[in-house]
Amino acid sequence: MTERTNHTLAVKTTKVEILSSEERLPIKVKEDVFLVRGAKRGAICDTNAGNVYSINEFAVKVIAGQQDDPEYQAQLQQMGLTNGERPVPQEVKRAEPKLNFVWFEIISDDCNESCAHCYAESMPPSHRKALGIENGDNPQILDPRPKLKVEEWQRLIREAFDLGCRQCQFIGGEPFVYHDGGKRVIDLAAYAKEVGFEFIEIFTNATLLNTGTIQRIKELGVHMAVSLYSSVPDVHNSITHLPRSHQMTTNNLKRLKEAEVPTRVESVLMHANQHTVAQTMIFIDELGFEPHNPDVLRPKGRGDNPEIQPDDEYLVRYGLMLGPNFSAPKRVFERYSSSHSCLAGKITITDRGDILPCIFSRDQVTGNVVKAGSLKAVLEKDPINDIWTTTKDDVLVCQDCEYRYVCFDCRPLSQGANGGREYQRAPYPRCTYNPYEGEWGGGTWKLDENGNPYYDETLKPIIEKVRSDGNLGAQTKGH
Amino acid sequence: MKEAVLEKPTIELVTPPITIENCKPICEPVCAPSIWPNFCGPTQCSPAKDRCSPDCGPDTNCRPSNW
Repeated sequence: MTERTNHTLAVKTTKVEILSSEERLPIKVKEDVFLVRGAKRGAICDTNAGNVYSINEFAVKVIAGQQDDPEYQAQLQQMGLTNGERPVPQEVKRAEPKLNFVWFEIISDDCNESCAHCYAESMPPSHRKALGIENGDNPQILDPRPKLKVEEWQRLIREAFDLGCRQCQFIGGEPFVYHDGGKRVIDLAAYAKEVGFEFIEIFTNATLLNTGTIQRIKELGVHMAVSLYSSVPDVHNSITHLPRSHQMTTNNLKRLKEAEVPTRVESVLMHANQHTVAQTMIFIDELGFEPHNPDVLRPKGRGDNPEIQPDDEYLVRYGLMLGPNFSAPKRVFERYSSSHSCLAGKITITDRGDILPCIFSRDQVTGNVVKAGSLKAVLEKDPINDIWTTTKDDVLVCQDCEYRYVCFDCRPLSQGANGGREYQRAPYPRCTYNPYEGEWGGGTWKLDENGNPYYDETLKPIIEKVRSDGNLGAQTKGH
Repeated sequence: MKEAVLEKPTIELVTPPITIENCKPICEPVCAPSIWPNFCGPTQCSPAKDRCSPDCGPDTNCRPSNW
């Protein structure tokens, strides 16, 4: 298990309050209602109603029984948040997550596109040849280990199911490029269906679909996820580096729609397409799919390039948490306090058999199914279980925040934003809350050269501008 | 010995109400990677419905807007 230690922290050269291990424990104030203390303020999480309340430090003291305020105590009782019981600190137990989702990365290197931001650094074999990178020539660029055969994929699909997993996604590279022994991705999806998987999705650029394939997808009940980077063909094609890819993708999206295949359309926000985000969402809507905000580029693989990151204003508008907006259903509170909000129970299996905690965590190989002999043998080891049970209590800064048991977390994003350091401890880079001051919107958290967190105020003017425009970012729309 | 209260304690709800208007933003992915399937899906999270599915949450991978 990760060693969990307290730390010291300076913000603007001023020492700030760091929660002790005891102060980090949630306090049960009533059945299913908890007080969570932050360094400055506190949060009441009512897991019955799913509501989260922000309270100041004086309220924390009143609820914790350190101060008296009969009027306030009566107000809380009237709101159904307390019932006069004595507050009791609750030990937080780590969960023992079971496998519940697998990304089968059946083809890691090969894709008919060569996207500017690809986390797996995939490209067509012909591009590699042109670049002088061929199989085995440069192990640092292309893994020389043999790829899993179709029979091995089938064995892994079966084993994952036998371990209790019922949901999976086939991804690459481009999964529709995959072929081995006359089998293609749709055959593996059919096998997963036959084995008993209840949710099967293929993540694709949709350029290689044909009528027969779409019909088979429909018959199997397979879900599709399709990348579309812009409504503007030249912008999309400049990202994929495949001429006419926009036309091929949109044509096949229309065919998927006509065939009533459950399909979601996903986009990634980067510098090249930032100016077309709004019109792309309209375009996706007009195609008949549910539009939603793009995923801001994660600095992984070829995406780890400052030149292709979106401008700060777009990052602030689409990627940052600018204000509090939390909910606390019971299972969210229970899960986030005992295991990782995202990673628990999930794995990626690459085409060389490596087990990663997620598709973006390329450097966190927690085992190899070929070496270990089975998936079960890898999942019984500490590395993956340690990652599955990492919580905000382990993350710098977040561990001192009162919202730590109701807030989402992304480890590869945090690591990527901090120069690839501290996979399990790097502060979450898209939060603007300063729990030591109890204030939102002053900056974002980063690690300095010594690995200590600091509140970087570089983005503060842009955050203020976006807030004054009335756009509080994607997180607070509708709030 | 309890201290005297020098300032007034406060309380502020920071959970948005689940309504037709904010159903979609609540379920919209923000921080979660786009590669995540959204098991909740448009059929459950669409504003055409009067609220997000009660099944929205970490198990369904339906991301609340603050994720």
